[in-house]
Amino acid sequence: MRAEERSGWQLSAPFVLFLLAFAAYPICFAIALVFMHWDLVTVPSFAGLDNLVHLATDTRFWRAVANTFVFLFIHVPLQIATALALALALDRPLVLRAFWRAAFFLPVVISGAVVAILWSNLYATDVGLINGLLARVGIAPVPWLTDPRTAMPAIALMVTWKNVGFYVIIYLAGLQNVPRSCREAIEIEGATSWQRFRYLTLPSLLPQTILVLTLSTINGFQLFIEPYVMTGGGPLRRTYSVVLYLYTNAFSYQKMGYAATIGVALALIIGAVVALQRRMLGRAEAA
Amino acid sequence: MAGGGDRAAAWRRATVTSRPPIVARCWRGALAASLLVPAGCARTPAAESTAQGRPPLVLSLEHLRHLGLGVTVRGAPVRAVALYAEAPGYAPSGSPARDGYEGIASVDDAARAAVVHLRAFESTGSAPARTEALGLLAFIVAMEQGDGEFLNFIDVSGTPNRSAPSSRKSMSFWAARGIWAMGEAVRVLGTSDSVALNTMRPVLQRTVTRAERDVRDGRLIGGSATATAEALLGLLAMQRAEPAPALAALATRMAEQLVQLTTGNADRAPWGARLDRSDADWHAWGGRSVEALATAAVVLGRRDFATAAQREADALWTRFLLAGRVPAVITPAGRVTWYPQIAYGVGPVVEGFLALADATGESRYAVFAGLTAGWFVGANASGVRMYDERTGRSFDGIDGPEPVKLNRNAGAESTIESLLALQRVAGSPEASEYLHHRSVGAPSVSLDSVPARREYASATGARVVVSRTGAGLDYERVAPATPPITLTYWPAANPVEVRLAVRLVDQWNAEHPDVQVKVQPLPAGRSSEEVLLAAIVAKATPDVSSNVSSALLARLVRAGSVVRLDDRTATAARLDERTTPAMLASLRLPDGGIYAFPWKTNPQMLMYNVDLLQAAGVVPPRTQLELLEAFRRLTRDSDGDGRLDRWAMWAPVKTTWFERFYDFYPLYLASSGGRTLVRDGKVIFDNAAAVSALDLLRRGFDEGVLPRTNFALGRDPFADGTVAMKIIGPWFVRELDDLGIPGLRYDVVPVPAAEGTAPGDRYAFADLRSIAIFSTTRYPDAAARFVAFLTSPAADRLLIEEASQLPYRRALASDPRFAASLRRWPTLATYANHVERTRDLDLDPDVVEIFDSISEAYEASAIYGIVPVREALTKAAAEATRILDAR
Repeated sequence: MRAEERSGWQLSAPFVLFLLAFAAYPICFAIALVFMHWDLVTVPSFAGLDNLVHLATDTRFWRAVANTFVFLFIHVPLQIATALALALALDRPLVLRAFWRAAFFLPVVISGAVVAILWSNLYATDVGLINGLLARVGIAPVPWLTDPRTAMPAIALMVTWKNVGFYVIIYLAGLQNVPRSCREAIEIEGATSWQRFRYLTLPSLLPQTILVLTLSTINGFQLFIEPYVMTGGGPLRRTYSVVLYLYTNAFSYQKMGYAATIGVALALIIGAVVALQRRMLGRAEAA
Repeated sequence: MAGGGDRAAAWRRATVTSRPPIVARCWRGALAASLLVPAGCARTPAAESTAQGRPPLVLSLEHLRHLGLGVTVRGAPVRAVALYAEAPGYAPSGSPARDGYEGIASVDDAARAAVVHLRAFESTGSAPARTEALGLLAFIVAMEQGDGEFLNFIDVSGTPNRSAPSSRKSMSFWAARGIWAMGEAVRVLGTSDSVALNTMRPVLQRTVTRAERDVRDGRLIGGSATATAEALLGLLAMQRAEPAPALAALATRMAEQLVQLTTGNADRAPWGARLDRSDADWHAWGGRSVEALATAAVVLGRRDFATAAQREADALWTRFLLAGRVPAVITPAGRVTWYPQIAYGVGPVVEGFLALADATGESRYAVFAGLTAGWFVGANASGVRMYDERTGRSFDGIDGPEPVKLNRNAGAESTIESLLALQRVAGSPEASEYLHHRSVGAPSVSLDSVPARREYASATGARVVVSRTGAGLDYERVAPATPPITLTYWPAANPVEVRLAVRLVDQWNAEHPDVQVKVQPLPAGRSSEEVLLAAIVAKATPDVSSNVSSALLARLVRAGSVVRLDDRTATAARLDERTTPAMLASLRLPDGGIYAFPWKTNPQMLMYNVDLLQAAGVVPPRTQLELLEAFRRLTRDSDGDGRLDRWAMWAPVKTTWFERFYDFYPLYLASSGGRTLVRDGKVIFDNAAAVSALDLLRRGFDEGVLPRTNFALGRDPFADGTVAMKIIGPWFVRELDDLGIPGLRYDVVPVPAAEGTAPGDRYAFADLRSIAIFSTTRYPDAAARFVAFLTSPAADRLLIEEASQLPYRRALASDPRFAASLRRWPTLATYANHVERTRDLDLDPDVVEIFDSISEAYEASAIYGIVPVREALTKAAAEATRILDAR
């Protein structure tokens, strides 16, 4: 082996070992667990296809999948729209611009559990700030987290608020890449603000949009801490996400085999959805 | 029952085979690495981790039963106890001719035997013990002569002996013991066996009235401190069960008579002994005045009686420990006769020390009791076990020292007195711990010149030194040369319980230099179950944790993660002292074992705001219909904005499984007749009680008189008057006190039951928390001693006073040792009344998932009304059945 090759192996070895220990091995282990019954503390036993059969017929799991899609349909477009709007606003000359950028990023670095507790109080039916403001304009209190119709949208709104700062950064980086010459040319041509946005900025930000779409979709599929803290999956299981269901099976029911089955199924669903998105948006990018 | 047996066998197999092979353990570790915490795959559990120390003492009533006789006295079929049983055949027999024929059996023995059987029934729930006790009580009743006086002996035909001096009709020893036995019967059987005791009660009343005459005239019963003390024990037992001012006054006068008999002091013979007369000898036989006075101190709330009891124990009895033996007789001048040594002499000293430990809270007396009781198990001049655990026989005594003359006969009195003493030792972890220690060095020849200190050692190398102090005698464990062992203890993480744990552990550490305990609050998590499971997987469990819920226990046992407690000396003794068989019945795993010590309970009751209910004209509801009516009358719009903002009650809207502890489950248990969710692997909650509970909640939500909302986190709607009632445990009393809400007046009543529920069918949700010793501990016996310490009466008092929580302890509400602690908080005495009328979670590994199914039924049928109640319950039951069948 040449010295150069040896150096290459040596330099990459720590990461390879890390990857094997903390990614490859757990993945293989999780796949093995799909075929096991295991309650964490006693000896695992072979389950054959029991977990897969149960998954296929488990209405709670499919309800959780549906709930997660509902969340994604609300959250992802909202996330893209708000991140883009804020990025455009923050890209302009603005008093205390650095402060505003930092302020919008702050929720990203706050613990999800803390944010969930904070928003639980904002959403509280009795003394919550939101209902307090609504009351001032004569609107009756809304049971945000206890009405099956509003619980998931309320959570989606909160998650959007929490993550928006991260996506704003991505869009702000993209906005720096819109060619100055093009901006000047389109302005000279007499385009309106909307036309400038529609025909220059938006197409220029397509790679960023694909990234935001992909990341927010993947993150959205992993919805957990918010329903865990705020609703416990209710009301009527309308906020029971796939990961919350996985967690409940693993650590409340100690059904590790079934939890691993849910985890593997979730990975496959995420892969399929993201592949579909990339295929559709890849075509748009190519066009 | 075959099914039960199969299940127990399967359970045992699961337990036995639960330790996984290395590969499986590494699997666990791998998952821990990916999901939870760093795994300890490389660590191996200590091989001796669950090694069993000396097993608890076995109390056998076999020989006592063997001495039992069925006779007819005055036309009544009764049970009696033959006086003697000579070695080697041990055939029951009467008194020999040399004594002048007295008879075959006596009230003297039958009464004390009845006390043994009553205690056995109280401790084990043994039906034969209860039957035998009732038979013996019938004999006592038959020997009463219509005026409260008794004859003593009968012959084989059941004819009373009216001529022998030791049998004459009188208010003497036998009458006093009759009072003792009948008083104990009232205490132990009073509430459950009122019919069986009907014939006894008039006799008891006459006997007490007769005894009162002697006391009023300033006479000791039978002219004896011994008889007076035994009669006093009976009166105190009655007073515990059925307090009455006249009875208390009589008991007080009797106790005061005993106090006056004290002679001498710590430096002057006979060293505080209570003598019948100033010129009478003190004799060990039946010297129960210390026990009686200490008990009187507790029952009558007279601290001075305990001080009087201490006087004899500290000045005289401690000399026995320094001398290394208990004498038979002491003259007023202090001359000692050491033999014969008999159970009737040693036993009362043992019981006196233990009663003092109870009365004063000083554990040294329990230690002294254990050291003294060593006589029964071989710590005597003969080196022979006087009490045989296998047969329940006790030898009649040691008649002399040179050569040692062991009397191997085993008559009634020796057997009874041994059992009385050892029954109490078995209920004291400290006494049990020191039972097998023996005095080191030669015993003293007189009580005048005892050494200032004496060492006692056990066969396992444990040593303790008793030494004289200004206050009498103290003891010190002699720490081995090796460094002290350290135990890790995880209490619940809330500040109140951490403070309590720190206080108790500080005390333990000061008293046990060889076993130091380190407190680490339970790590944070949504529930302690999940935290403990994570710790088990990572093999990072503590030695002891006091926040183990029933929801987790079955799984822990199947995994072999916790140590069995009812077969370890210290914890077995504490269980015996603290609980009844009924209290333990639902906590036993299928193999019959107790694997977590039931420490504290928070029986859920309906707390209500007195002023809000009064203002609305609502009386505290007793039935679920009355509760619904209260919902309607207490719901209102207080500020006139057209929206309801004051409510009767708030039922949590969240579906997390444990939220049902505050709505459905207590309402269900209130009328379920003791049924829980699962029994013997079958679902049992699809019933009328569950329908009633869910339907009540449905109607409340449906009519808009229960708020379909979650209140802001950190706010308590009961505390600020938004709701007028709340289903909650006693821990909340302390929380309300911390909040310091001015003017808030509240009280509690049992959770309302369905209409027509019989009082006997009403139960409260226990919300039990237990203490477990984890199998990873290297010191299970030390941990068991620590658990016994955490559950001692003194620690229990601190639990009540610090945390407003209740120890899972029998007769808590009527136990005078806890009366002052319970008075520390409002409503706690009411909560305490329900400690024994509770049901907890089923010990089922899948109880959390079953609760989740019920939560779904609750949500769908009660909160949102989209599924009829019965249909929702049927669906939940089917789901629960599927869960049970799947394993």
